Amino acid sequence: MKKQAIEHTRLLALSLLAGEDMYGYQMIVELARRSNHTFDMKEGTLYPVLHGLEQEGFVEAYRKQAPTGRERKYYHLTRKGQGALREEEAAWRRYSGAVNDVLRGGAEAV
Amino acid sequence: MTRQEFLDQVLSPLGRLTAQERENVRRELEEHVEDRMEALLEMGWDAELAEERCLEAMGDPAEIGREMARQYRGKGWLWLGRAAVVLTVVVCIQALLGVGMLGAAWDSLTVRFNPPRTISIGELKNVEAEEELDIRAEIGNDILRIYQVSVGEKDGQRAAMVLACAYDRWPFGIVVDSLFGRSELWNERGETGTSGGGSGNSGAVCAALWAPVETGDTHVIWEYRAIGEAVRLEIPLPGGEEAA
Repeated sequence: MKKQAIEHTRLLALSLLAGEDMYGYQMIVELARRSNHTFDMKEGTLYPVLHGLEQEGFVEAYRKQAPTGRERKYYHLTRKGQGALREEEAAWRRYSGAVNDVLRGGAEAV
Repeated sequence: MTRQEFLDQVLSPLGRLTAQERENVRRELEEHVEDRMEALLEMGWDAELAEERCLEAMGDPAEIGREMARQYRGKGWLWLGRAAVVLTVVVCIQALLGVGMLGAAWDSLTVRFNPPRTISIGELKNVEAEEELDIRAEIGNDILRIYQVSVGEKDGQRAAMVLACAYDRWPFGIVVDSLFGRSELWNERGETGTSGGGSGNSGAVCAALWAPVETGDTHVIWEYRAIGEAVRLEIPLPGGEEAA
């Protein structure tokens, strides 16, 4: 189940970066806002995921001044990362669709 | 747990990373805590409680460290690869230095941009005037470049000294070492000094030639003579125009 949680974070991180370049804390805030606080992940666990994506060439990092005036490490989705996002998104839709199908079947049986 | 302890625990399994990478991880997490802290303080939290809450929200530092280390696990091989590249480069440079090729090519390059200003055998005393020049001539595959002329005293006699370097057109080419042996410097009356001196290797040779001059002389002549080839270059003397 833990493995699953990590995979979700990957997909969510890629998806967040598809909109704009962001730094880690900003991603956490944005994730909480968009998911209405459903994803209450441990914030530090985002960073190993980001560094993994960077090692794979899915994201690139650079330092830039944030609106707060302080310099932060921003992540940018690469072309390769966009491809990975499309694939993982499709896989996720297949997976969640299948779960929904099963749930619907269960509801009908009740 | 303090912020420091938290960061130390995250970093402790990251021994394989470079110092720079470790520093980047530390900085990034520290910045995250800083941003989270600020948000809590704005909401009126007590500083100590806020830090506690921040670190708690970050999660287990040991787990973050382990996960982080996993992302860099390919690095052991990467290091080995880098070490192999460095070793190869070092061995190649050693080999090139051994055969003198690199040294010669280096000299061949430096004389193009920064030729030597002093050539030990050709010292002039009481230098009156000195001028930088850039007169070039092609001699076979080599380029002769005259880059400085000065007027002063040599063996108690008024004399002009000319500095020149020669190098092959290509940095790895070989310059003909008899180039200066076949060169002479004349004054306007056809007098020459005993030949100067120089130094160099297969990449570049530099030399100083001199000729006696008198007040009113406007130029000296560099002459290179070999079988089937002769080059004459007129070199204006510094301040020659006013004297003339």
